[in-house]
Amino acid sequence: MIKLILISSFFVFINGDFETESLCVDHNATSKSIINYCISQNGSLKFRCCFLSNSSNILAIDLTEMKLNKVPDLKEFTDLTNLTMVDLRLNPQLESSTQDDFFGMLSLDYLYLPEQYPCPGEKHVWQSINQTIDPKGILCMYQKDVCINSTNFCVEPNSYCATNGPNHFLCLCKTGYYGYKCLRHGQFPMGKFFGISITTTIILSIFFFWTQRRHVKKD
Amino acid sequence: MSTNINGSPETANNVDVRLPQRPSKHRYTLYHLSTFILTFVSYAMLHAARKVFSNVKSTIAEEWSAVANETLNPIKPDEIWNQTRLFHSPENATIFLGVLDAVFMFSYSFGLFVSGIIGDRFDLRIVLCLGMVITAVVIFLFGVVSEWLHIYSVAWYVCFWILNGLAQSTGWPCVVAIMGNWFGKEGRGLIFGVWSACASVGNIFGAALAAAFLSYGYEYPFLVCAALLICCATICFFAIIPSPEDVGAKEVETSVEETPTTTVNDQETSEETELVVKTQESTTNKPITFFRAWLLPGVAMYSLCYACLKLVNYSFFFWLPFYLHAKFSWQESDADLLSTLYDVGGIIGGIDLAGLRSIVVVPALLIAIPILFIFSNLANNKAINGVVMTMTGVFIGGPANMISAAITADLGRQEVLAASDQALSTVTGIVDGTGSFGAAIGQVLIPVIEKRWHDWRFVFYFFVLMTFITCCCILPLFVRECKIVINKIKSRYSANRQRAYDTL
Repeated sequence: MIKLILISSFFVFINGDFETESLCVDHNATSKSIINYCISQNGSLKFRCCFLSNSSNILAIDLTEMKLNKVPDLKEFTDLTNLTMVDLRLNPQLESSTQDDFFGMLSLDYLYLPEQYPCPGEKHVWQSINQTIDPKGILCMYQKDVCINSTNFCVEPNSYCATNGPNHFLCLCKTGYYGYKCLRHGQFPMGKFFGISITTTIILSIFFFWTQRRHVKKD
Repeated sequence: MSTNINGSPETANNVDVRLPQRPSKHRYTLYHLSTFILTFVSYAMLHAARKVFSNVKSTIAEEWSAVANETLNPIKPDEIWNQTRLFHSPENATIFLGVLDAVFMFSYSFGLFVSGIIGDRFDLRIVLCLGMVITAVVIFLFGVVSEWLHIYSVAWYVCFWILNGLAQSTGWPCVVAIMGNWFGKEGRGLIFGVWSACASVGNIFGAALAAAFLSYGYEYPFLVCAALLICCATICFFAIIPSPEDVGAKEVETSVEETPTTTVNDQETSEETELVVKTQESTTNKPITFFRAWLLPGVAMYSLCYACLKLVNYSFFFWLPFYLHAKFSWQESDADLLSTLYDVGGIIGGIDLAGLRSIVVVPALLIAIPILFIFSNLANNKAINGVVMTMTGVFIGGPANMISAAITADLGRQEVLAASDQALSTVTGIVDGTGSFGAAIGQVLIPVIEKRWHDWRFVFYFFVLMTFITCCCILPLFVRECKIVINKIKSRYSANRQRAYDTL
């Protein structure tokens, strides 16, 4: 199991590098918001992507004018925890899919969307929603914690709600609980149990043999 | 049947024969004590293994399936909540678990017939220990290996549960036969009464095991059970002495058997006398054949009666926590705890102080009928439910325990079998096998009845009907034993009068 995770994470790592490269090539960033933000954060701009000062973590990404019809699945590409700004304007065919969009973008605080695409989760998720004029679109600002407002997300026992990007949450196991459906708690005292039961068995076997079967008469 | 052979002086001649032997009858040795404890613990462990399965069911259903409620946002991450390991929802898993129960009961009942025959032909100790070891291995493969290696396959579970039924079936005929060898009829009422509590004690122990180890993961109660079974089998292997003859002790009853018993049998049905003559001709200690065992007086009747009663008894065993959970939506742990009260009732009801067997069974079952009616209409109150449940245990579980242990031991060691003594295990296998077959049918019928009328009350009406049929089956034996007891009292009275007259 652990081996599997290691292999797959290794894969993601290679993949991520490769894909971010391919994502961040071809076009230079055109979105003013992205460029300004990147400069203000001392990031290094590399085509469409703004990297956090010389690391591989993307801080902001410009996805304008890409003729997208769905939000690209960025979670395979790279670590999204630092991604703060995304610009998706000028994609007239872009359609929303609540299931996967922006999954895992925990620090996404500035989301520019084309007109037809409403802010995911609307007022429940964003502190302010504004229209932008040039280019035309919507700015969803400052992500809220979905878990704080709602208590009925993680109703399964032993789990708690953890935000995982705009309008996304994870149900994770409470501390001490683990395993599938968080059904397990604590570690079975394997050594102690087998130690006690084997010792008891040997002692009782000897005791009973000495007092009982020793006297059995064989034909 | 005649229970009075060793029971009391029948004729003046018998009194004279019996008197010098009196002291030896009640002298229980350390062997008796250890036999009692070992057989008790062995069978309790086997029963605990069954109870563990029935108490971890709800957790297994969860582990086998994805989270059922698909709301707007499915619960993430998938690796914690949405693995479709065997089923799409816990409900489907529960249906499969019910099927496993039925499969187990059918293979168990089939296995009992076979194990009974095997028990009379091989060393009881070896058969018992082997059965326990195989059970442990099967439980380990079913519950532990499948979880550790993530083998979630219907075929795997069904195969091992059938094997489990077969392996577990060796337990009961062997322990009853060993107990029957060591304890004569005199002590059977009280001793077998206490001893037959082993199933109920096992249930309570199994429930405790499940509660204690379930939090580590559902495979750990299975692991603990399997390990304890192996330990128990090892101890039994080094300790159990199947029969007093093995240590040179003269058997309690064989000496009595040599006294002329035909006088009593003359009062009985003619078929019995025939059998007595036949068996006395054969001098070898040959085990009885399976079909001859069926023809022994009382065996077929008690088997039929036990089939109906065990159906009711095991329905409580398998369905009571589920019923309480469904009807009153009580917590699973509360429901389990309250259903334990049924077992406690069974222990109390199984103790037969007077040694009267079927004479006690019939009135107890007649009392059980109104109690079942009351039980089906109870309000949501834990205290009242607890009391009624204990009462049901006393009047249903008690007679069931009595038939399965004390009465079966009587049947397998009746005087008809004077020469060929090796019938106890076969007879036990027949009575319990037929009983378990009834229980298996019950497992299939109850969900059907519940689905058909959408009302648990009809299930209780079905229980009432079954209890009534049990009474009807046992009635001829009841009448016969009543006559015997009346005769016994009469003769004792006249003997006392005679003695009083002599002294004058």
